[in-house]
Amino acid sequence: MTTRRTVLKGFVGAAGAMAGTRINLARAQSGPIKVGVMYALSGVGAPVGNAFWIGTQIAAKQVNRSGGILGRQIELVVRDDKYNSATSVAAARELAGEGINLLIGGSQTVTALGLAPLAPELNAVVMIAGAAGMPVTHELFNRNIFRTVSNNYTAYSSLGRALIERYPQVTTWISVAPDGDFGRDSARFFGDAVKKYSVKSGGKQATVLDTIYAQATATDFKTQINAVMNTEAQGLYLGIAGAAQISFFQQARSVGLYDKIKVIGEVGNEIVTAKALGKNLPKDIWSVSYWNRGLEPFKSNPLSQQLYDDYVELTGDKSPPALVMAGHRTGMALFEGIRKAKSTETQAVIDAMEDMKIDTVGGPFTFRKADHQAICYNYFAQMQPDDVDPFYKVSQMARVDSAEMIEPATPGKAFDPNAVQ
Amino acid sequence: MIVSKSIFVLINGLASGMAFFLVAAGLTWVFGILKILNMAHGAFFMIGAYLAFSIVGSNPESMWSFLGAGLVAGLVVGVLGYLTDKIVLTRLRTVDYHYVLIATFGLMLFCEGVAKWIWGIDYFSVMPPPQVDQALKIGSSYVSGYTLFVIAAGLVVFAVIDTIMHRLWVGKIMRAVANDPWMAGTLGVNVPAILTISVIASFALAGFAGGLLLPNQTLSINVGSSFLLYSFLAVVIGGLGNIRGTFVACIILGVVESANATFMANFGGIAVYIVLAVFLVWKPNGLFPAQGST
Repeated sequence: MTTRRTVLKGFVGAAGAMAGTRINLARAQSGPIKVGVMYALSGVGAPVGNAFWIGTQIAAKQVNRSGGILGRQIELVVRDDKYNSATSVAAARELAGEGINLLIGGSQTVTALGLAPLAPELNAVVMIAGAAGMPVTHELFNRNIFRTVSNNYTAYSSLGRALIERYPQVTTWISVAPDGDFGRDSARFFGDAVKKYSVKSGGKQATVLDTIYAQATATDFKTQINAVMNTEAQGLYLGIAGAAQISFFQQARSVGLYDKIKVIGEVGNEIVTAKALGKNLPKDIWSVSYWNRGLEPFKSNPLSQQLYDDYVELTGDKSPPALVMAGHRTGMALFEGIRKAKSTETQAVIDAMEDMKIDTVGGPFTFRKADHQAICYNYFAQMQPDDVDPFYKVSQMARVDSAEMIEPATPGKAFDPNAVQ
Repeated sequence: MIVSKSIFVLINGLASGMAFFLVAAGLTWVFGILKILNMAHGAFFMIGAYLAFSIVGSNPESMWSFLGAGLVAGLVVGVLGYLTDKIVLTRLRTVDYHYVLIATFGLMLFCEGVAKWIWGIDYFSVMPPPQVDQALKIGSSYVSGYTLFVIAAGLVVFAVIDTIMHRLWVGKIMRAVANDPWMAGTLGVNVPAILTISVIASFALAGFAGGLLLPNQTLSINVGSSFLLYSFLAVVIGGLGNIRGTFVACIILGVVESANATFMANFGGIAVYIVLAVFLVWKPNGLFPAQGST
């Protein structure tokens, strides 16, 4: 029997459904395209997070300058994740609560590990901008996340390969790395590649000594430095990052490590370390890098020059950190995904990005469909001290194609280093 | 090999301990006299480090310019201590310690914000002056001249503070004020002035330590926090407010930390907390407890 109460319920239900539809339509079709951005803008991760943020801002600015996407401008809504997983997750929830389904974050692994499992629940596309930790595209993989940098294995085995191919005379190597998953993995991948490519280059297999571990945020590395000084090592991989890396070099220099070690590969501080140390930089150090506008292949790439011009206009600074390119590339990948999907809806953007190929400042870029892992060139910058301001120079860029180095995709399963020997 | 490693542990431990002491000296001084646990101490250490860097640059030309920059940093931070005392600390002398912790924590955030505004977020580095910028080899241990300089600086600072506290009239008055400010006041001591002098001395020590320890660390907004934790631990183990206790505790912590890193590298940092736990059980009032402690 139809009662007044039943009819009233029906009206309320119908009104609610219509209101919901109206909200969805409003989100999908009008106003600027809102993109949530979560980087470390304060605390110890700030130098990294700010570089990413500048790059992503420039990407949005360039797209908006050329008329936007789907006739709409890009509007970035930024939150400070404070280099903290819980803060990053809270920021993602807040942004999703505001109706933003396109998110960029994870400038470091610690924040990416929080964001990755959250993406399906929020029905959001999450671009992981800088995290290299293996779980992101392995055991934590889901279709909503896309990693726009090389992972640990690809990046640090490429670094090992690049160095041993250039320094075959350096036959004994050692690593100093933080005592954690990232440090242990990156030192192992580096060392394995040194051994493998020393033989492939036609020489005798290089010796890789046991890794020396330290706390990631330690302030005193004199014990580890003394241990390195008492080995036969001539080559060093340094997995210590951030401010701690600069402290390491300050303490290493004062006991003569610079004279003993012929070449150093470092985890990715790049010109952050070079700026801080200036003419006290080690004489030959190679850094995981992304960009240097004055050197090939970037010098002849107009996208690179445009990025530099926009960087100078935005910041007034003329020495951009390479990480700006990684933030820019992440933004560009997402914006191109929206353009290709002709929609801002989550599933449409995911489908569009899975087989998308774009040109970036660093060359061709694509996502591997199986695990959404970026395939691109890995760059390494050779840095040396200099006599003129700013008292360091980037002498050359080396590159290794990650397509040659990448591990097999095993989405949903932990990465097994033994399977890639 | 064990002997050689042990020598290194001792030298490195002493250097770390003296670095902790240079920071902890001001912290324990102000706690001993005012009973204030200053959470902003590391921030003023950081300001001292930035000031010294601004004066001397990345490559000090001589030992005199390096020491001079540290002294100027100490003086300027001492003046900041005077202002902080007048604006903040005097208002905290009669309130519960919870408010003191919150207020000095807020002061720390304020200092970090101002430093970020002035010097930015980039990292900087400073090398030791040429006289101590050389490597020495003792057995199989590689030690820098600057490491020996830090040990010497810590010993000198301790000797000066200990002499002031136990041999000079001003130190004896300070101890009298610390023990019983009411009685000291009735005997004619200007208690507020003594308290203000103590704050200035504490802050000046923080600023001076910031200048002296620059070549060991990356200069960043967070440089103070790296030393502050160990300094707090040393103040607790040594006996709150006791300079001699803090000095001994700093040496213990430095040597333990160095031995941990050398002999148990896979368990980095754990030994210090074990030592802290042992001391809290064994000597809950510290190595040199204040008079009246049970």
